[in-house]
Amino acid sequence: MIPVIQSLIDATSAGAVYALAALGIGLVFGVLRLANFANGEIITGAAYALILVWPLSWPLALAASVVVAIALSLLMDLAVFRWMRSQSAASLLIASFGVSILLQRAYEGIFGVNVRTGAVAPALTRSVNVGGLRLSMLAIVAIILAAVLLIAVHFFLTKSRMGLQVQAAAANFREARILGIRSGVMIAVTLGMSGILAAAVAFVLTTQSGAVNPTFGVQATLFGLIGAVIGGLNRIGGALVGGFAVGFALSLFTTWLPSGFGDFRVALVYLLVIVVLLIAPNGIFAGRTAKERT
Amino acid sequence: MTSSRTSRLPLVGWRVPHVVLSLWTLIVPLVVIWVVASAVSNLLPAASIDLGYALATLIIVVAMWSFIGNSGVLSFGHLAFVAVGAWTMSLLTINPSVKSSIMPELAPFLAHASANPYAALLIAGVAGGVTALVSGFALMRLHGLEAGIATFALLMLVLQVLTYWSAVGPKSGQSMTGVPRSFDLQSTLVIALIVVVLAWGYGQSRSARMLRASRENAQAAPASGINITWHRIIAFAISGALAGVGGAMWAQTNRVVQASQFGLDFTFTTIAMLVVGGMLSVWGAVVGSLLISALNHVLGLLENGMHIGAVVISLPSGSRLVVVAAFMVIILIFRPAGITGGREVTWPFRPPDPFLRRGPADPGRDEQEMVMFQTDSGRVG
Amino acid sequence: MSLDNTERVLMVSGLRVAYGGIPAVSDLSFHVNAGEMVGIIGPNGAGKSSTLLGVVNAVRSESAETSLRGVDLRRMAPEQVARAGLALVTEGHHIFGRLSVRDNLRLGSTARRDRRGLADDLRWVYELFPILSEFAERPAGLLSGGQQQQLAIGRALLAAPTLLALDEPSLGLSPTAVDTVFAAIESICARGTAVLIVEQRAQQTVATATRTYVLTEGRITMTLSPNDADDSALLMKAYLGS
Ligand SMILES: Nc1ncnc2c1ncn2[C@@H]1O[C@H](COP(=O)(O)OP(=O)(O)OP(=O)(O)O)[C@@H](O)[C@H]1O
Ligand SMILES: [Mg+2]
Repeated sequence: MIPVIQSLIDATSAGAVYALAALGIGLVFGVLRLANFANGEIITGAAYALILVWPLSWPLALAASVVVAIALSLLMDLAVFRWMRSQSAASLLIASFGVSILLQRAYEGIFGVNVRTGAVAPALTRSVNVGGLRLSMLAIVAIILAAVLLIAVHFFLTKSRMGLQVQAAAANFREARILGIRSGVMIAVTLGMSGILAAAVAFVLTTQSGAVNPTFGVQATLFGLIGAVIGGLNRIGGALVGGFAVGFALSLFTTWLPSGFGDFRVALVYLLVIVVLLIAPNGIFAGRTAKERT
Repeated sequence: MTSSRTSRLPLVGWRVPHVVLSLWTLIVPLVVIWVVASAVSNLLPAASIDLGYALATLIIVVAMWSFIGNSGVLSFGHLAFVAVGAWTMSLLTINPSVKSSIMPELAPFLAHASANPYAALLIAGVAGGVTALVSGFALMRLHGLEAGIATFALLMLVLQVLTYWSAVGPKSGQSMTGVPRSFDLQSTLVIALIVVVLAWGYGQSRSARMLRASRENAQAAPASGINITWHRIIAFAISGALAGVGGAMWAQTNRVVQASQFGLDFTFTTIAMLVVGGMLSVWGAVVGSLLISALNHVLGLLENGMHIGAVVISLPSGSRLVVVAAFMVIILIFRPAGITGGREVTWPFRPPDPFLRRGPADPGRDEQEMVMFQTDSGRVG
Repeated sequence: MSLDNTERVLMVSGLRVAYGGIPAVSDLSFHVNAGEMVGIIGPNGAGKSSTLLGVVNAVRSESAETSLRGVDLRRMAPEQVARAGLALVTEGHHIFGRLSVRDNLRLGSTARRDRRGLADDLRWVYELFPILSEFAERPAGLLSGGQQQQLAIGRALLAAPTLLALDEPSLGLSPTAVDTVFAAIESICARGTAVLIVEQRAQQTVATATRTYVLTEGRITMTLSPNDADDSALLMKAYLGS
């Protein structure tokens, strides 16, 4: 029983991280129709900031990672995506693939190919014993962090004036503009939010690994992107659940697959993704979406 | 398709049959490839290694075109078939004794299998095609981003299996070494030309035409999609087979094969080639892959330090992909349909009839060329 | 007519809109004065919607002049046009289906800062369309077509526009719903907001509008006054093209 609970908590925490990644991708997709592959490099940038600045001062490191993530997110839009607003989602995806590769190489040039190590929030790497359960602090912190961010995003989107406008821009960009909603502001706000979410992902992942390399953020983004797609890209909640499901499944496979099959856990997740898309080609939550769109 | 359509040479005044106009779209790419390859191997012998890679990559990009270009559906997964082709080629041509030492756990039928290079090439094509066919049944109902992501999941799935399943390859993550070089440059060139002919021929088929005609509507009316799905599966299988051939050629050029080689970087390079040339025409695939290969070669020289007069120019390693990525992004911004505009080579003597100007192979095509890059008037500014 | 004494709200001259090189609107000139309701009618594909979208720069357009109370709109982004005081209710009234009716209305007042005026306007909109206050908390996507149209108009009004432009507000509505909408438009006009309305219901439009332009193939072919409303031969001709 205890290992089951333990693995469920681990899986929840892994799911929470990918849910954050997927949420960032889903938000940006909603407003910009950009499925941003280069989100991974935003995570990587924030991770470098954390690892390199943490020894100096931890509050500074946290601040730096958020600033770097938001700046990267805005800069890549300014340099590339804003010139492609009228192009299809497919073109935007390809362009973001290009930006991703470009930034990976840039990190390689700046920080070297090898991993940079450094302890980020070492206090969280301990485990605590709760009634026979050995819980990793990080898993709990990750779950709480994700929950707080998700609730914050939810309240922002539904309760604030600005959030309402972001939702409108995501639902129908042109109509929102005709209503006088400032497209530039909406885009910046959305990119900023995705930056914050990326920094949060970077925080959890660097604490976990204590190391960063130029392709650090790729995996989380891939799974986030895939999660967002299987959840349904045009529904923010869908993206979230999809991301969570991917992380949850991956973590459970890691724990419970018999040895010998453990190597295939990632393959199994991809297989699952294909199966899900087979059953629900537009994502799990697309049915309701299609109806509501008039 | 009526073959009675002809066009008038404005000066000479005789009619050019449709067949000529459409063969022109094949002959020009073939001649260009042949001229480039011959020129490089004769004038720049130092570049002949890169030429081998360039031709293998050309095959892969043309293979990708035969699906992406005709169906308008994005695929990030073609490297899966390339990997399968490379794997097949390696398993069939590596010396059996070497094979048993680097892959001790290989399934018996694979351990004993071997074939001559041409047979191995064909089998690689079949393996790629079958993999594509089987996965096509699952994937081809999807379109748009979902298709892109699902094909990507397929790639990752195949790579994971090839990496970890020691019954079909080396121990986890290790590489297959000792793949013999089976084809010299001359044969590589001929094989590349044959692949272009096959891809072009498929593009002329009724199935491919229907697919192109569907590019616009498929998204709007998936209900009427049964036929379209079939034609997509066919395109996917054919392009998977050609990609398998490309993988085989790449394997015997590189001589060391490992699953991780077929990951994001390679996927990106091939997609960039297609985008830069123009993903909707064979001509675009050819132009893009030759151009990027040439660029890669020059950048490679610069990375090793190149002497120009007394100056040594040297780029940090890894700048190749940076330049290619930047180049692709710039093309996407300024010329989203690629250098060729996604058009086939046009007969140089423009016919006066405005309808025929749309390109000899397929009237009314221009409008559809743009579908993948269609502008949404809702997003001005 | 002494147009010189009245204030110009919207002035458009030489407007052109083209899609992929194919012209949809060519060299169009028209104006709307303060307090007026001006109609545009014409057959399907005449370029009526394109005209409105072109004026607010939601599609690429060119013109010699497009100005709202003397303010040049031509280089503005669509949101700036809206903020300058031109509210457009697009064809097919795109409301935000997942958001509540109240949130939809709130989105209409994005650019406003005057709370008092907004409260007054909200009360007025609820008076015009009582159904909106009744269903304020419902997801807008659950409203009927006519109710959605009312919501779209109400949302546009909350921006306190100088000019309200409506694209086929009667599209798909039942006769009673059409009457509701037309009555509302008249009282909007009476309250001092100039109205530019694109319609298929020629007779009703010509009868209510101060002036109605007939658009065919991207050009104005006729300008009708309310007196022409009962001349069915003329209206027929307007539609079939002269
Ligand atoms: N986004 C677009 N892309 C290409 N062509 C368009 C586009 N929108 C409109 N058109 C074309 O422009 C012309 C004018 O269209 P518009 O929508 O302005 O007509 P309309 O007068 O509003 O017609 P209706 O009464 O049917 O609403 C039509 O021929 C139409 O096909
Ligand atoms: Mg219209």
